[in-house]
Amino acid sequence: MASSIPASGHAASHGDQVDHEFKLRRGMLFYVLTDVIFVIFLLASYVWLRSYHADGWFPDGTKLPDQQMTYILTGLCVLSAVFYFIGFMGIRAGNKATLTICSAVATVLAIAALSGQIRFMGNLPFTTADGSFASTYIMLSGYHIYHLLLGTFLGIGVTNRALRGRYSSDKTSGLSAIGYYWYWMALMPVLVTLMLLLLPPNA
Amino acid sequence: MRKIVPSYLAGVILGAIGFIAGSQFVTHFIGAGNAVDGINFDEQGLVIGFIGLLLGWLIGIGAFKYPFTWLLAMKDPDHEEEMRLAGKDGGIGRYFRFTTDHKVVGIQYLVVTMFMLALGGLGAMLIRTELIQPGAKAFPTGTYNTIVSMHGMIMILAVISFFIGPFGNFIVPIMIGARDMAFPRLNALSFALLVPGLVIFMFTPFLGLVIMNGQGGGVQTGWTVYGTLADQTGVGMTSFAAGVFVIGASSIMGAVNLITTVMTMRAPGMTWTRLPMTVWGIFGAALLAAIGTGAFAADLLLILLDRIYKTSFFYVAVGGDAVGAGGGNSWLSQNLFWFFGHPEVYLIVLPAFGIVIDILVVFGRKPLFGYKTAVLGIMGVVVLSFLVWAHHEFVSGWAPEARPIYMATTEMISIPTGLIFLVALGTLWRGRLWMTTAMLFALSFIWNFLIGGLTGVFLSDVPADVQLHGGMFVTAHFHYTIVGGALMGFFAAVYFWFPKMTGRMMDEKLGKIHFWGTQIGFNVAFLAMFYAGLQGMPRRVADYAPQFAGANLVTSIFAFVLAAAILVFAYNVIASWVAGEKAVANPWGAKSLEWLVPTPVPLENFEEIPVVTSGPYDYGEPAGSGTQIPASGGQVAG
Repeated sequence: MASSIPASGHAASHGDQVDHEFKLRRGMLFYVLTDVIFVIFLLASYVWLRSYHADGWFPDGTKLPDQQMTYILTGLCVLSAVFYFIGFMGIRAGNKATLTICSAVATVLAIAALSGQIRFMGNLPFTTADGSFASTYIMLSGYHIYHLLLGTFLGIGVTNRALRGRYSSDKTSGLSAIGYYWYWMALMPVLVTLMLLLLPPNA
Repeated sequence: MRKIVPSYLAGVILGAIGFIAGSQFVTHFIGAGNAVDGINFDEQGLVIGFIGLLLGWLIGIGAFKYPFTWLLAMKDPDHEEEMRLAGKDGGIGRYFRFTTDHKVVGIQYLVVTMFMLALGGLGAMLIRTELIQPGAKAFPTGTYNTIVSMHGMIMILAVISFFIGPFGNFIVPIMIGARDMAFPRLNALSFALLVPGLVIFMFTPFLGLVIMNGQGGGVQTGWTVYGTLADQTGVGMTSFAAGVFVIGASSIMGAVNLITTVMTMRAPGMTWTRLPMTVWGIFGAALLAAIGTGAFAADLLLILLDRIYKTSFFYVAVGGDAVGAGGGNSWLSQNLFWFFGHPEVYLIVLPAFGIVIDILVVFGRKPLFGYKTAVLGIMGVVVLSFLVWAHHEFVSGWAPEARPIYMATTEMISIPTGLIFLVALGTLWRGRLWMTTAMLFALSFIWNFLIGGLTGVFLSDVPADVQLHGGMFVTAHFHYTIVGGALMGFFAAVYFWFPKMTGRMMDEKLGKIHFWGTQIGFNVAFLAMFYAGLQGMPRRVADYAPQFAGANLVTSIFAFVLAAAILVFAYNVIASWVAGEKAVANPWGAKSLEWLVPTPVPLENFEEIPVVTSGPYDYGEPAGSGTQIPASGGQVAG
C-alpha cells in the first residue's frame, strides 16, 4: 500500500506540475465560452421575439439606427483584433516593438469603439420602451459596452507590460489567453450587426 | 490600518458606503425630474446602489489588488507573498478575509451554505405553519407568497453551492493531486461574490413593505420568476433578480475554475479513468453550471430591463394573449428559465451521485462495480439534461406539437440515471457494510432518490403531467429529488469529510439520531404530500379545501420532526468542530488521495506531487496495488 506523504519539507510552488500557459488558455477559453453562451441566449431572445412578432415588433415610423456608424464601430473592433493578433505573432517571433506598437494601437481602437458606442447609444432614434426590436438592440449593444470596457482594461495592461519589457518570445504568459477574449470582443458586434441590421427588421 | 484594509470589515463598511453612494447618486445627480419618461427611477437607484455595494465590498476585501498590480506592471508576487495570500500563518483570521487557499475557501463555502440552508429551512417551517390548517391564518397571502418564493430560491442557491462550494474546493484539488485550484484568486473571488449576492438577495422581503402597507411586499412569483409575473410583482423583485444574478456570476466563475482544474492540474498518473467518482460528479455539475447558468442570467437581466427601462421582452397584452403589444412574449422567460432550471436539478444531484458511490465503496469495502458505467451514467445525464426542459411547459400552451419529443427525452434520462443505481447496487452486493452515519445517509440517498426519480417518470408523461402539474404531487416529487437526493448526499459528505476538513470526528450517536429523525420526518411528511397531490390539492396556496386538512396536518407535524433532526445535526457540527474527538489522517481507511495527506492538510497539500499508479477503488486487492504516493517523489510500482 502507499507510503504516506512527508509532513514537512521544501515549499514547492503551486504550479510546477502544470503548464501555466496551457492552464491560462484553457481557463480563458472556458470563460469566453460561458460568455458566448450568455450572448447566445440574448440573441436567441431576439430570434424568439421576432418569430412571434405581431404588429408591435417594429412599429411603423420607427427609424433604424445609423447603419453606417454601426459598421464603423464594428470595423474598429475587428481592426483592433487584427492588430492584437499581429502584435502577438510579433512577440512570438521575438519582436518586442511589434507587440508594443500593435497592442497600443489595438487598445486605442478599442477605446475609440467604446467611446463611439456610448455616444452612438445616446443618440439612438428609439428608446427602450419602443417595442422588442428597440429592446433587443439596446440590450445587445449595451452588453457590448461591457465587453469593450473589460477589453480596454486588458489592452492597457498588455501595452503597459509590453512597454516595460515583460514579454519575450519565450515569455508570453497570458497573451494568447487574452487574445481569445479579444477576438470574441470583435466577433460579437459582427454577429449583432448581422442579426439586427442586415436581416431587415420587417423581413 | 494595514490589518483593517483589506478585510471583511473594510468590505462591509465600503459596501455600505457604496450602496448609499450608488443609490443617492441616482437621486441627487440625475434627479427624478431628469429621468427619461417611463423609467422606474426608484428601482434604477436600487440597482446602481447594488453595483456600488459590490464595488465597495470588493475594494474593501482587496479583490482588486492583483488586477491593478498586473495592469500597472508592478512586480509579480513571489512565492512567499502568494503563500501569505493563501493564509500562511494567518490563524483563524484567514477565514475572514480574501484568502486564496482552496481549503479555506471550501470551509467558507461550507459555513455560508449551511447558513443559507438554515434560512431556507426557516422559510419551510413558516410555510408548514401556515398549512397546518386550512384558512390562511398565519400570514397575509402576499407575505406567504414571498415566503414561498424566498424559500424556493434560497434553497436552490444553497443546494447549487453546497457540493461545488465546500467539497469542490476543499476535496477535489487534493483528490486529483493538485496543490490548489487552477486560479486561486478567481476561486476566492467566486466566494467573495456569493456573500454580497446573498446580502442583495436578502433585501427582497423588506422592499415594498411600506408601499404595500405591510400586505406582502417582496416577490409573489415563486422561485421560477416567470417574466410576465416578475414584471408585475413588487419592488422586491429587483433585489431578488440582482442578487441571484450576482450569485450566478459567482457560480459560473467557480465552475470555470473547477473545469480547468480537473482538466489541467491532475497529478502524473491521475488519468481520466482513475478519477474518483466524486470528481466526475462535481466536474459534470460544473459543466452544467457553466453552460446552463447563462440562460437564467439572461432571463434575470431581461426582467430587470423590463421592470426598470420598460423594455418589451416579457410584457404581454392584457387578456391572455401571449404576445404583447410591444412584442414581448411570456413563453420566452419560461424557456430561458427552464433551459437552466432543469439541468440545474442535475447540477445539484450529480455531485451527490459521485459522492454517494465513493462512500458506498469505502464503507462497503469492495471495488467499485462498473467504473466506466458510472462515468457513462454521469456524463449521459449531463448531455440529456439539456434536452428535457420543455416538459415543464406541457401545460403552458407553448408548442404542443413538441410534447412527445420532450416526453421521450425526459424518459430517456432515466437510463443513465439507472446506470448510476446499477453501479451503486452492484457495489453494495455482497459487501461487508460498515454502517457509519455517512454510509446510512448514502444508503438513504438511493431509497429517497429512487422515489423522486420514479415519480418524475410519471410527470414526464404528458397525460399524467396535465393532471398533476399544478398540484402538490409535483412539490413532493421535487423535494424527493432535492431533499431526498441531494440533501442526503450532502449530509453523507459532511459526515464523511468532516474529519479531513476540520481535524475532528463528528459524534456518531448524534449522527444516528439525526439520520433516523431525518428519514422518518422527511418520508412521512412528503409521502403525505404525495397523497394530497393525488387528491388534487393545488401547490403554492396559503389556503386549501378542508378535504386536504388531514394530509397537510401530517406533513406539517413531520416537517417539524425533520427540522428537529436537522437542529441535532447543527448542534453536532458545532460541538464536534469545537470539542470533537481529534481525527487521524485516514479514519475510514479510504484509498483516495485526500486521505493520504496529513490532517490538518498542509498549506500546499503535497510536499511533492504524487505519482498515481492505479485507481482509488482497489479494496480487496493484494497489498501494494493501491493508489501510490511516493515519499520521495519517485514512482511506486503498482
